Amino acid sequence: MKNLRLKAARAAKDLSQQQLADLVGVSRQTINAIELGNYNPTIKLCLALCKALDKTLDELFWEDNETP
Amino acid sequence: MNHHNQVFIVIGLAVAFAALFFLLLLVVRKKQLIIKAEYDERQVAARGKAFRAGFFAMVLYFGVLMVVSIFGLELTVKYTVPVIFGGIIFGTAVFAVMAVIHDAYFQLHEKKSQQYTLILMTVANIASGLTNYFSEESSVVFFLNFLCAGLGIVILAASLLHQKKAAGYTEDTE
Repeated sequence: MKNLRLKAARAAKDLSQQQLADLVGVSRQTINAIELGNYNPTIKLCLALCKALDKTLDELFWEDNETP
Repeated sequence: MNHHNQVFIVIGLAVAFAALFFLLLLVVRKKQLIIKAEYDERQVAARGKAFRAGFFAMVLYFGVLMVVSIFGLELTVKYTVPVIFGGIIFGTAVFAVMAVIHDAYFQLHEKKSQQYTLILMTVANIASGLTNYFSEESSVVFFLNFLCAGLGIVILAASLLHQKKAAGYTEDTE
């Protein structure tokens, strides 16, 4: 499932995929894979993304059809 | 061993020692005893899958070789080593191609100069292979050189395709 919230949060911060990747220490392809739903990041990477984008885990990674 | 081969052996040894010397200098200067590879978690997972594919490709190669040998192919001792080495090269090539396809072959922040080493090794293997092929004491060693050069060419071709793909990337694609 695509992670549109991650993409939106990244766009809100005016960051490219490469810039976000550099901030969290992964490759640009990894950020792209997460946004397309082709890769499930570890909790460590999830937390790093949340920190970089000033968001909580729920805001970025909780699926819409489930209640937290 | 004739004089011609002895000259190349001496040159090869001299180049190897020089390379070792510069490597030691680099280690001492940078105080790094281990050259750490930098792959992110997705790349590590993808490389694991690529290693598995390469391993099974190698097993398949030897399986086919075994079946063929049962039906009459007789390998002399002279050709055994290159044929076996060919299996290892085949498995390595499958790993490399799979890793490149999943953007997991090249490290994070890999410098282009590191790829020049691969080009240099490929050219050296081609040169060595040609020398061995035309040598009076021609043996199947030239075949091993060409196998290694072939592997280098496969990796370089995959690398070029990868770079071409990355150059055409926009965030709306993929």
